[in-house]
Amino acid sequence: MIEAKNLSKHFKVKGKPDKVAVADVSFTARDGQVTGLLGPNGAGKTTTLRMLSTLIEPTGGAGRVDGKDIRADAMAVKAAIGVLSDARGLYTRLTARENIRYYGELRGITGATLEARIEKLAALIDMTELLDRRTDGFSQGERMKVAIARALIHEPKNVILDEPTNGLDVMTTRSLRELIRKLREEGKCVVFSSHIMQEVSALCDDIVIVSQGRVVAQGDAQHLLEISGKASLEEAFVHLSGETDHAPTSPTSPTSPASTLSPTANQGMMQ
Amino acid sequence: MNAFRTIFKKELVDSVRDRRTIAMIMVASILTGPLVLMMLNSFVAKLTDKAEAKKVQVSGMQHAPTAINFFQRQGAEVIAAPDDYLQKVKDGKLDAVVVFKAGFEDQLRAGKQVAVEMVFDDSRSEAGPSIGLARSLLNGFGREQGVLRLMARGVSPDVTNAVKVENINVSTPKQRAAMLLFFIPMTTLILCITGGMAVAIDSTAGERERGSLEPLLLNPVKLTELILGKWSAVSLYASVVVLLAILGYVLTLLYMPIKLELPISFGWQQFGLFSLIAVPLAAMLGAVLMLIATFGRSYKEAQTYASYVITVVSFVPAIAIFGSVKDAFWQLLVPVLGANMVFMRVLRGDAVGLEHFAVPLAVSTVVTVVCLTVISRLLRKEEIVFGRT
Ligand SMILES: Nc1ncnc2c1ncn2[C@@H]1O[C@H](COP(=O)(O)OP(=O)(O)OP(=O)(O)O)[C@@H](O)[C@H]1O
Ligand SMILES: [Mg+2]
Repeated sequence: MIEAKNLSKHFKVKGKPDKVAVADVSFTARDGQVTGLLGPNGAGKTTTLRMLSTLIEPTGGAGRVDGKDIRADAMAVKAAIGVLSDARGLYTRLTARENIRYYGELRGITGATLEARIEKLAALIDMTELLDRRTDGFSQGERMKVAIARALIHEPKNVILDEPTNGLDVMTTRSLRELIRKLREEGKCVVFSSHIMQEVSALCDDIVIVSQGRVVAQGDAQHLLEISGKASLEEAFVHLSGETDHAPTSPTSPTSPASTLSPTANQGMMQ
Repeated sequence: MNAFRTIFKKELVDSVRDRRTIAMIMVASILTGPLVLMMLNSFVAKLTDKAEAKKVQVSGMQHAPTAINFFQRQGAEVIAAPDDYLQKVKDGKLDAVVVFKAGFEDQLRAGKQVAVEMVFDDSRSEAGPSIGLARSLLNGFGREQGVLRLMARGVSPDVTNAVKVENINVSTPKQRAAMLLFFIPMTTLILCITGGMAVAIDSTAGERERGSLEPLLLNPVKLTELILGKWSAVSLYASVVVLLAILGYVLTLLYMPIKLELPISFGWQQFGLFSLIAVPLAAMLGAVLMLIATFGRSYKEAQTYASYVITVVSFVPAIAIFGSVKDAFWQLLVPVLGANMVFMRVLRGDAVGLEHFAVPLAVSTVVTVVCLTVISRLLRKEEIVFGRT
């Protein structure tokens, strides 16, 4: 389970006021569910996920993974998650297998267990024939597959995927969706970010719409349609993410966590 | 420590596959010894040939029989200079020519002051010994004539020579050539850097540039282990390369069929002593390179910074020689300078004690620890990991 509570992040920028990348984000991603972080470019999705995966320290708020605090217990959090980060560079002089093996060994998995897992993951995301090629010259989709495999090599209970379908063709996107569904069936907690409504709605049990660093709406696809009063999800998304200026009063359902944010969200805006 | 081993191993495998870089570095390090030694050797051979032969070129021999006689009494071989000696000196074919004009002998007998010309080009350093010889022969001749004239007037020569300088030059041409030995520490110091440079940059600035730093830091691995693993790989490469270079020197001197004209001893014992200095230094410079490469925004920028380090390091031996820095304890406290001093002492066969190795080792260790600590601080900074604006 991944919880974000009033997370905020201000970046120092030389000669300018701080850049507020994330103003106030709260959500809970439950086990056995796929939670989508949906938002336009620059909404603060990557920054939020980086805070949750302990790479950057929040300016305010708190985060927990399986109950462990992202600040106080960073090592335990890292051990409990598998992350496909925004940056997904590979070592081009190593083969795909060696790239994945490296991450496995860094997490203490070795020998036959490790080799078996590599084979299993490769079969799952259809990259078996790529395994023993050096990753130099891999296509974007092939690189993505390796990055996904190495992020999941330790079979993490919590999975964070930052725009996993970026640059993937239809076939690969499909097999990725299959993989995400499989992870859900296994009872894992999956969070993934995207700026494409259709993609999120096709997969997610819970959608968190982020705009300008704030959660502007949260719920399943049906709920989002209702509160926006629009016919299509795309319309709903455009409508909701444009709502940011009066986000605190946005008509989210009373049970939605987003509705509890209003007071702090207001403060964030004033700075 | 499992993560440490994993990282160390991965960096080794990754960089070994960078074939071109590795091959170039290995070849360069192996060839350094033979090339430098052959160059120095031929230079010194020329120098000693000239000085030992004690030849002096003279134009107008027939005008100065007394002077010629003096030259020969001093053991010099007098050679008649060709008519176009001026051009030959300009072209660097002759080193120095003493020119006696017609009437020299008559004026000398008449007790006058007589002019003698010396033609030389002191911009060619290998002409130095010949110029020196000609000058000292002429000075000696002048002094002898002066003494004879005073005695003829019944004056003791001591009246004019209040101080009698006796030149006892104990340095042989070979020893003077020892100045040039700084090439050996210089190449050794440079190779302490080149071996580890590619790995140091690739595992820091390169890691960030290719976007593999962020996912790497997502693994539950202590930064200390991560940095130590990378640094160990850098140090290993740097050490292997510099040891190969030193080995190149030893093997050249032991087995190459060249007659040694250099005043040095460089055998297995010196190999050991050099290694004791070179390995900790290579490890330290690896840490320094990693630190500055961590600052580099890109691989290219890091390479530029690294080239500054190489430049500074390669100037140290020359500065020590030409700035006449005297061997002293304080030098041992200065990284690189201390190593250079010990290298030179070992080459010259000067006494070396425990402090010559223990102090640089301690200094290297301190610098290494400081650099690695700063790197681990830097990798905790968001602007270093995710780039700066
Ligand atoms: N290190 C940083 N320094 C300064 N500003 C930053 C930094 N990182 C992110 N930002 C800014 O914070 C805002 C949010 O960025 P973030 O990458 O989280 O957005 P995103 O929702 O992931 O967008 P995208 O869909 O384009 O990936 C952006 O305006 C970005 O320019
Ligand atoms: Mg992003």
